[in-house]
Amino acid sequence: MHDVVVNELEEHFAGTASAAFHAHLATCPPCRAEVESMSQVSQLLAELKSDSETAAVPSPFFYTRVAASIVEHQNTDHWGLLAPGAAFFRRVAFASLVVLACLGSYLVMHEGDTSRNSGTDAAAVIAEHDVTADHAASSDRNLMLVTLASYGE
Amino acid sequence: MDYENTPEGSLVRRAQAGDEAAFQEIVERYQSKVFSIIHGIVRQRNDVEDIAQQVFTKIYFSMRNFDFRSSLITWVYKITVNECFDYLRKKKVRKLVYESDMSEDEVRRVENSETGSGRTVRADTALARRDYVVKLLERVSGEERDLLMLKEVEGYSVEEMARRLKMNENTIKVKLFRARQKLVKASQRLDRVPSRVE
Repeated sequence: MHDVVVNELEEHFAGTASAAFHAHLATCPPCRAEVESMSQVSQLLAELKSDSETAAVPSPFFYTRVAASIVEHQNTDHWGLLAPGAAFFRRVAFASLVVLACLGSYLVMHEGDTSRNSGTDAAAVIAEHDVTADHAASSDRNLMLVTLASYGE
Repeated sequence: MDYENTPEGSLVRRAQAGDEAAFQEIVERYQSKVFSIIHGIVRQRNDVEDIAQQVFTKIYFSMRNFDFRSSLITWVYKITVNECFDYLRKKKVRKLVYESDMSEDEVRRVENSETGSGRTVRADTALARRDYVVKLLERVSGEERDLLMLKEVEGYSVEEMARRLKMNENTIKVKLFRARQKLVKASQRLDRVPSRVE
């Protein structure tokens, strides 16, 4: 696009473009086509002009509505300081994951200690099941044998 | 005279300082203009007052950011146009979500009821043209949209725009030229899709 068109396009739309502008358009088909397209699109924009006869008119209570809306927004903003937002819930979820991870690693470590202390080797198992050990179960067995013997007699 | 020292400038200063009467005066001074802008873009009478209410609520909360670089009406105009385009964007998303919940038959029935009646054809054509223009304007930047609206819809001259926006006239001419070029390209792209507006 040539400079003369860029500089005088608005004057052209206002009907005040110079003779040089028109002379250029007459000899430059690409510029002429572009200006024609721009003119058509500009006319379309007139669709957005409001018709004063059909346009909506503010009600007498319009300012009251605006004032109420402002107060409502202010109240929402004040509650917003206290209300938990998405960031709050993200932090809670992250903290929960950290706590779970700590608890999990503690339990795994503690499990290892318990296993070591209780002893899983053969000697420890034999010691737990020592038949010579004097405990309440063997005395109960003896008492039962005496009872059966006296019943037989 | 510097805009800040005009009667309107001092009204804005009072509103910025929290003077409710000053804010009320601003609302009453510009409410008709805001309603008219919204109606021109949105064309839904029922929604105009809701959008205008949003506009003035936004103006109230951003009043402190107004830096007197442009006149108050230019600033109000920009906020209003942006709010309208936000509204249309949200409405389009809502319509898409609504239609995604419907069966193909239901969508077809709604489309037929929107365009089939002879009585509504003219209104539909005007609405379709307005939708087409809105689609075009969605394809340029916010600044370009404001410039095009001020020039083509509000009918400001380049000199007036330069004065109101405190910009050089040549800068405005170049920006308008680029914006118009983008609109032409957007229109050529839109015309390639089947739903072209005649």
